[in-house]
Amino acid sequence: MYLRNTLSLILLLFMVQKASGQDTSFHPKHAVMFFPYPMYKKERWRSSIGFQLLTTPEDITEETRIRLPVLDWHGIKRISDHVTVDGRLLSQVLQNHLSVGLHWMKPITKNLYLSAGNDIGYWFGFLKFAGFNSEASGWINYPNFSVGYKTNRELLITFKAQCSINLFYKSANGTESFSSSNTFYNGETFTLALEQPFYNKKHLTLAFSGISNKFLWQTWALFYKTDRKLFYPQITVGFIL
Amino acid sequence: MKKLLIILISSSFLFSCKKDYQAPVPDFASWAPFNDPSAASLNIVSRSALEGVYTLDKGADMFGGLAAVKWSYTHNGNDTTFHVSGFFGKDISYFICQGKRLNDSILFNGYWRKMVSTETGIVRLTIGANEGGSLILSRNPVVTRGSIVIKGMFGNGNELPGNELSMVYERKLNNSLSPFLIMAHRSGGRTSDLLPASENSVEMILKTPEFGSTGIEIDVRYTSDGVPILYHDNTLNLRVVRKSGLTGEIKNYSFSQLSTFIRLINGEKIPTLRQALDAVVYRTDLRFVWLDTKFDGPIDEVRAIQKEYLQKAAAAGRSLNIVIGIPGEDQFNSFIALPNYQNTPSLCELSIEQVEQCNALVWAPRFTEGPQNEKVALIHGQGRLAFVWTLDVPEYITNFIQNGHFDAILSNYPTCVAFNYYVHQ
Amino acid sequence: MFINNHKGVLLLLAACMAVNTSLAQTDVKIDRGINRKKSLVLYLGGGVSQYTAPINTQPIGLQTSISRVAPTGTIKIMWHPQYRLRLGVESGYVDFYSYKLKNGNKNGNVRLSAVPVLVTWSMVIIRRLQVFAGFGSYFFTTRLNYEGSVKSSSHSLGSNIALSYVQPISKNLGISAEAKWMDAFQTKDHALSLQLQMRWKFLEW
Repeated sequence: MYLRNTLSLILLLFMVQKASGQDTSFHPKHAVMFFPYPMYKKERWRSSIGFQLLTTPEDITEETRIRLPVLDWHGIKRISDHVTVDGRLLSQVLQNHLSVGLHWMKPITKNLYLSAGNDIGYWFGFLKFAGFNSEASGWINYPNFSVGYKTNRELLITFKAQCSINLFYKSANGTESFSSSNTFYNGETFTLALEQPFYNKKHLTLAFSGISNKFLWQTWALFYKTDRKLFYPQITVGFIL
Repeated sequence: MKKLLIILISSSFLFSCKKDYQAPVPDFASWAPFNDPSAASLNIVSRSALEGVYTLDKGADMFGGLAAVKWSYTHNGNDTTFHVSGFFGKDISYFICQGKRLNDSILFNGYWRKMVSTETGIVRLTIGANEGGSLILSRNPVVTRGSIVIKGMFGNGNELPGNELSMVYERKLNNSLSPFLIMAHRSGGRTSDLLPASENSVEMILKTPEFGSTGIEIDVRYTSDGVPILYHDNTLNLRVVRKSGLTGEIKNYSFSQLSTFIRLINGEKIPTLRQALDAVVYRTDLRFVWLDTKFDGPIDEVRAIQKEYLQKAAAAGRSLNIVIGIPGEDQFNSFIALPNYQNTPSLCELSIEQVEQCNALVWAPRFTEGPQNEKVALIHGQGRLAFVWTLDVPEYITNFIQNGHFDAILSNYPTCVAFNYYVHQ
Repeated sequence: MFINNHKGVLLLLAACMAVNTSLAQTDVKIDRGINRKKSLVLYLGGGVSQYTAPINTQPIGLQTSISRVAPTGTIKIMWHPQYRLRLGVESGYVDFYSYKLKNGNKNGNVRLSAVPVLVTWSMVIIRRLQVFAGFGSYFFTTRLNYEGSVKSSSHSLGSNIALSYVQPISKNLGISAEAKWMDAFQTKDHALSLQLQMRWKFLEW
């Protein structure tokens, strides 16, 4: 019900904006990752490197809380002015996540931009020490939608809504293994990203996310998945190269 | 100002999807036939007769195709309370009811729960006189396939039950791996499992037989004045206890301070190890207690309490074993520093060589190594037991019971272990 | 309010952007910030805090009094680049709550205080009015007196958000009034504070 309301209102918002002006002030120095800027001709690639910090729900993961940052590489490849390929690699060495997807961007006014996209992700993890002989992997699909607002002093604000749909899960412990191709709606992530130049005109991304998922790939080794959605707050810091 | 508004609105989404989950036991008390003054308790013959594996005719889409029906009991002085539990194969679901006879019928009144979610509700079941009621209530019931039909309704939350549930007797419960132990983690399950009592509490010890448990694992720590208590975490935190202003490591506080200021998440006091073992020995029929040592340092005090309660259990005619857990090298070194440690019942999670060195009664490897049938056979050959921990994935529980040779499975979902064990052929 | 009314929030968002759309065709002045100076600014001050979270000690049933109002203090250093978003670090002290207890003839008291250590971002939203948002840890200390004294420590992830009005009194000095919401979300402790702070721009380049 909530999702339906959200989507219909986003559609309404899109229609409200549809009749308004087109982007005329694209400034190539805004090399940002979350903000849904189109990539115009001179730019081929854009990438950032940074980290994510996530906190796991204490009532489930107890004192075994993940404190390790996730290394985050994020790249965008231009296909056309308004279409890009978005690739991302997240790594904690023992568990990793790769995703790739197509994103379509639309300037609505000088200050307001929209994008819609779909990414497909593959994650894998392995623990082979201290009594563990475990490994797991899976496929997840991420449809997403972003609204970006450009302020007049170079601060770019992006709100991103993303769904997560689990496509496949496989795990093994010693000689025991289990796999499931049961597709299910896993949850949603809302992100508020702030991007602006900070030093030497290099842009910095600072993103706050609220992840509400039944299954989160970073927790595959910690607990058995339930039908309850758990909440994970997350901070992403990215240095745009 | 506009930017601030956008940021605030966007931020509100970030936390909008955070939920606090609860699964309170529904209020099932008001069922008139069950509360009829002429409704009476069932005797041991009737209770035993209706235990078995049942096939679900109706309700299989909700709970799965099979159910294992089993009785449990707890004592309170001279009073004994019986519960009948049904363990299902889908979504770690179960029902727990009280049972009575009314004329020639048998009534079950209680609640059901799915452990993978917060779904729960009232369940009311009947065995009609012609559907096995008269047979079960006879002096010497001979129960065969199809001779008992349990019918009734289940609902959602506190709503009146409106969905049909029907089960037909199929066969006796499996007992082939006897004496296989269904070990409940933290005395019955974790706080996050939203059970009606808190983990590591006396109240949970009294509940856990209803979940099918025949043994428990409990976590032992010391207070600052040297009292062994039941508590899992290093610190006082809101996962386990209610807000009190007391923070930091639990070992900083005396038992009197904890007893005065601290309540567990469901309102219980933190019990001492003596209080917990008192409940096990005198109020349940649990057969095994695993004392998981969550402290470094001397084990003497815990050893003395273990010895005292083994003697009390023997004096009470109880078949009970209490073992001291050895989860790491520090505890191993403390254990072998005990005088007469080789005759102290223990459970060692370390290598087989260390199991042999401390003469542990039980070897307990982590489940992530798999069933390890060769090593389990070696341990059995030495006259020891092999337990596996902490197994919560239903598919793995099924595999370990069907293909493994462990003597016990430790789980946060004893109902799932009970289902898989009792329906196993 | 926002959290409980998603539809309302979205309508507000739509309205806000519709307003923005009407501004879109106007000639918006782009401030690239190139001529602005960078500076480091110190904020130092104090005030009172009101603990706003429930204190769930009722099951004990022995409290004689609970105090939710206490003094609080803040120190923060902010880097003001030439762009809108500013970055800094913040610390301070807050007494979240304290209570007394009588158990028969035994008396006791508990006090819970915290030192926040947060990375803070700020932004001017209108002239002299700034918003701050911080994220980091709160380091707690419990002081218990009941059958002996215990001082025990722990920490919690947390955040804060503040609105600050600055009244300049010289080129580099100012006085600010700040309303701040402090939230140690792991331990579900939160408080609202009102503070007066000195603002000193001690380095500029």
